Amino acid sequence: MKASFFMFFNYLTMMGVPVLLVVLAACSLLVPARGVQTVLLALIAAGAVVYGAIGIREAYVHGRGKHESARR
Amino acid sequence: MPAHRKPRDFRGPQARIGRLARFHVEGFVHVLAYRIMVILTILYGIFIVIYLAAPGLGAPLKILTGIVWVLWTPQLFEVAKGLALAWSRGMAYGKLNPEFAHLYRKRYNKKPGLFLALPWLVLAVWAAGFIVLMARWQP
Repeated sequence: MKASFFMFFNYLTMMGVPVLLVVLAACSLLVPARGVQTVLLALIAAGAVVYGAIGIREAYVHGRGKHESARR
Repeated sequence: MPAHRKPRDFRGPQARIGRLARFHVEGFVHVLAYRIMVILTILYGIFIVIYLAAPGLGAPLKILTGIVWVLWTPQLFEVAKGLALAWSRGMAYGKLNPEFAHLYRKRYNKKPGLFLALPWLVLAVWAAGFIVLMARWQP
C-alpha cells in the first residue's frame, strides 16, 4: 500500500504539472488575468515540490544497498 | 554438485546511469534529465512561493520555468509512450513477436497508428506551449 500511495502522487504530479504549465501558457495568450496565473502557479508549486520529493526518494534513496547489483 | 555461486549482474549497478548510454540512449537521456529535475523542481516550487509572496522576480521565474520545461520533456515523452503502449495493448512501442502481434490484431482489431503518433502529438503541444510561454508570458 505504501508503494501505491507514493505512486499515485508521483503519477498525478508527473502528468498534472505539465498540463498546468501548458494551461499557464494558454492563459498567458488568452486570459492575461493575474488571479488565474497566481492560482495556476500555486498549484504548479505544490505539484513540483511533491514530484521532486518523491523523485529524490525514487532516484537517490529508495532501494539503496538492498539490491545485489547495487553493492558492486 | 557445483558450489553455490552468487549471481552477478553484468549490467553493473543500476545507480550508475552512464551504463544505459551504451545500449539505450533514450533511457539514458530520460534518467539523466530526471535526476537533475527532481532536485530542481523542489527549488522551482519554493521559488514560485517566494515569487508569489514578493513579486518582482518575474525574469528569474521565467528562466527557471524554461529550464524545468526543457528538463521535463523526456519525462513527458516517456509517459506518453507508456500510455500509448498500455492503451494499444502493446501494439505501439511494444516488442511483441510477429506471430503474437498478428493474433493480437485479429483478436482485438486494434491498429497502432494513432497510438504511435501520440507521444509526438504530446511533444508538439508541449513545444508549442513552450514557445507561447516564452513569447507571451510576463510574470
